Amino acid sequence: MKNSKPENDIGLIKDLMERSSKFSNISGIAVLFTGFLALIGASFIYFDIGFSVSEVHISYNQLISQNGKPDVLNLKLKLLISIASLILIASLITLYFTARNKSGKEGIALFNSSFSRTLKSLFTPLLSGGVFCLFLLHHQMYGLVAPATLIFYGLGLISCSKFSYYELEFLGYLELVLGFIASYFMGTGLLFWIIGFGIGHILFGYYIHIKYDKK
Amino acid sequence: MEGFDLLNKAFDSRVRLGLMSILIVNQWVSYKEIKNLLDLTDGNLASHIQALEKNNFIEIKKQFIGKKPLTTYRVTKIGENAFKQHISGLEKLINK
Repeated sequence: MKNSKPENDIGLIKDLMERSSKFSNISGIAVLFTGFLALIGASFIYFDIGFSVSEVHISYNQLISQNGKPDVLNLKLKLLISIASLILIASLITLYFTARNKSGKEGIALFNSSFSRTLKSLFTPLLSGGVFCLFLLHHQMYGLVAPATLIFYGLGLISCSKFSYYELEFLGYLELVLGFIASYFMGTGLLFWIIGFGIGHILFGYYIHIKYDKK
Repeated sequence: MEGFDLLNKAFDSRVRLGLMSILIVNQWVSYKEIKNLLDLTDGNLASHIQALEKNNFIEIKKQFIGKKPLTTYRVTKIGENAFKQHISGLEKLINK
């Protein structure tokens, strides 16, 4: 292979710099799956399915406005946090194992520099958001928790998109806007959660699968 | 012609040019990773790596992860400067 044109060389350099420094081992199907998990989990709470355990039905709206018996509210709040945490953990496990599998197939170490850069840029805003949400819970501002998770997650996606799929930026802005709308219309948080985390991830996962994984 | 004098013979081959591009933006990249990124066979890559190492453009680290040997590469300061000069040469040629 001999040198031909300087333009081609610059193109080759740019292409390799970009491909080698970006983390692209997220599996589209795994993202799609996490979207389904979020969709199911959030609908479960939003449409008040399966709350006969408490014998009294309490809607998400009643919960965030603290309108109801304290012990029932407490129970539902705990259930909501447990479901949300379960979804998060299940999603992270799915993403981790599929990413490991994908990088194994391509002969690339998962914990390379692009991976750690992506993780760092994603989790700095995400963990800050998590801590902030704990304070919201502490001050009983339940209505702002779901919007806040959307906003901070959006910020995390925007910041890590530089080191991974650039399309993550669009998803980030979507989550951000949804979070702001949900903050204004307090009480609609979960509905926007369903759109942002559920439908957003399903569409994004499908897009990544079609565009990158199939090749 | 202006620009040609800045080009480095070592980067004449597209494989070597590609290899340097990968190493410039990453710290310690494994052999397998480079091979996949450049879409090459074993023998082909090894000779290019040797050539770059001879010029002191890259350094090699051999270690074991468990029982598996792992060879990784990093660009040296000399390599980085040579590559930058080469790129500015290419840019001058394009911008004429």
